Amino acid sequence: MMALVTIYIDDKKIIANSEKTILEVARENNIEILTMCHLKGLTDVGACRLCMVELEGSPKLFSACTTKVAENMIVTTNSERIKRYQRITTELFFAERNHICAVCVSNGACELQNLGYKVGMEAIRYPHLFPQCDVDTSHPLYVMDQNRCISCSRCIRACAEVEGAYNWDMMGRGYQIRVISDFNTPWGESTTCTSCGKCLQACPTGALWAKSIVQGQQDKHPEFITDLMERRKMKL
Amino acid sequence: MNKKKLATVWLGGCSGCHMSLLDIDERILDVAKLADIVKSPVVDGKDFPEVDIALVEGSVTSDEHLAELLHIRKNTKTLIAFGDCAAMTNVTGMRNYFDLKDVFETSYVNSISNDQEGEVPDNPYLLRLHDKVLPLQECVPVDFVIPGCPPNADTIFYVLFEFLNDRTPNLSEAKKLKYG
Amino acid sequence: MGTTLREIVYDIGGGIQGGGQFKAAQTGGPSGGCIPTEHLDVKMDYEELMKLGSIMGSGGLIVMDENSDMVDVARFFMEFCVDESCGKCVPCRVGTKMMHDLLQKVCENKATQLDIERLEELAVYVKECSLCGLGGSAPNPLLSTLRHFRHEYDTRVQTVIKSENLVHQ
Repeated sequence: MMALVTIYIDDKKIIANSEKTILEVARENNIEILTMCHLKGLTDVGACRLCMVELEGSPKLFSACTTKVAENMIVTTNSERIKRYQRITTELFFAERNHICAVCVSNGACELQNLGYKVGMEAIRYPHLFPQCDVDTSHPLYVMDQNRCISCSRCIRACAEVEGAYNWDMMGRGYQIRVISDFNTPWGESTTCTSCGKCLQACPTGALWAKSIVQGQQDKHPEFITDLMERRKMKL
Repeated sequence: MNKKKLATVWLGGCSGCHMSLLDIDERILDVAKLADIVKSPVVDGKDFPEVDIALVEGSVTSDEHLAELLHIRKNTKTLIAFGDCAAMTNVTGMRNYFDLKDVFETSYVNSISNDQEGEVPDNPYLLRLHDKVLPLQECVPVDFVIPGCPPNADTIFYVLFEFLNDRTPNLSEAKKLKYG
Repeated sequence: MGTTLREIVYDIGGGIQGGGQFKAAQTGGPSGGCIPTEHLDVKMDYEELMKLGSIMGSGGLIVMDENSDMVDVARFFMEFCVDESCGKCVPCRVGTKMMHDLLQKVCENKATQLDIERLEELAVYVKECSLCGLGGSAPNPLLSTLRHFRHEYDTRVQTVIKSENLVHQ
């Protein structure tokens, strides 16, 4: 049942629908909360931990994308602690895989790069892990480059929830997780992939890209996924 | 006002950052008013002298680079990591995903142009490569970082000019952050 | 509940095997903390253990004598957490691996002061930002050894990075 609640985000009083998450309410009111794994229209998983916010009365942090608003909730999104943690998360993203902006198709139009600029990251203070990663070029149209993957699972959710093809999935555990096609077979041999390209649009970095694109020419439109889901809801 | 001493150093990089430094064009005259470039790949100079500002391009790939960097750190007031290689290893670090032995064999033995006659050179006078390429801040404390591959000439000039006028630049506030 | 650690170790357990000196007890399984000698008289219950940076957890209890290397203990438990991390959220997936690698560096006497600072920062971050309880408690052995056995970290820190540590022998 829908109810209206009063919440305070960074001292701003907001009347909000109790069905909504903190992130949705904040975005509707032009309060910026950084995210990576969130894409409007897809189910939220709370995996990137960038959207952590402080709630008054609790020493814990909460992920804004998976926490629903409640009456008299007092939310802080921009404390020094939050900013520090956002920066560490960003640095860990860069240190985890092999993000070499200079040779990437997404250079200049990359959500991860923009995130770095937003948190003011000049250099990565942590040692890089430098894992050996595969590049799957077997698909006639697209490429999957594990080096640039941040494991946000947006491609997986787009494939399952929007296209309904269930081509992508996650394999392994810990720092060794990999996004796989079908049962870890080459993407080109997939029996489920419809080559619709929705995963490409959902991908925030240069991990998924079309072969027709050269370095620095990527132009992605993740909002297309959002738009599509909104239209479906309206039965257009 | 005393002129500051400026040095630029080229470690494991492609020299692209130095090219970008030259792209500050006539603004180099503004820099020259405030500083003398005492050591640089484009200036003749023997030993690394004591300087106020050092722009260090490239990452640390061998024991020679490390020794040089430690020497620079001792003799420099403000050490600036110059470019993506110095800041986060970038392209130079792409050999880090493999064993050093494999890297050597691929380039000296197995590459097609070697006609299967190549061998890994083993001369004591050659550089001794480290297992992993490291960014500068893994080896010594770094005072400032200019990312970018290469950094924009505008960004370089902005940072130099601020430091030469005894101010601390802020790339984030100046909206001049750029990787790649 | 409420029995002191000393009673458990010396009366119920029969003391340290081989006549060694008690150095630390690690409670609560791999994500618990280490309790040093000066807290031997702690009453074993949820609140008291929590105050020392440890937990009741699974109820496991590992007693160590003076031959134990506390940094290596922290590294060992972190290795377990790296393996157990599911990989969904960033702090736990990357943070545990990063902390493990840094602890390995300390164990091999290759770490610098910067690495200790990174460890401290990462430990608190992973604890507060992780999605589930595994990441939330994974840094406990690290945090408690940093708190009670700080000197074991500090004595191994190198002032200058050495070239021979970076070249394969």
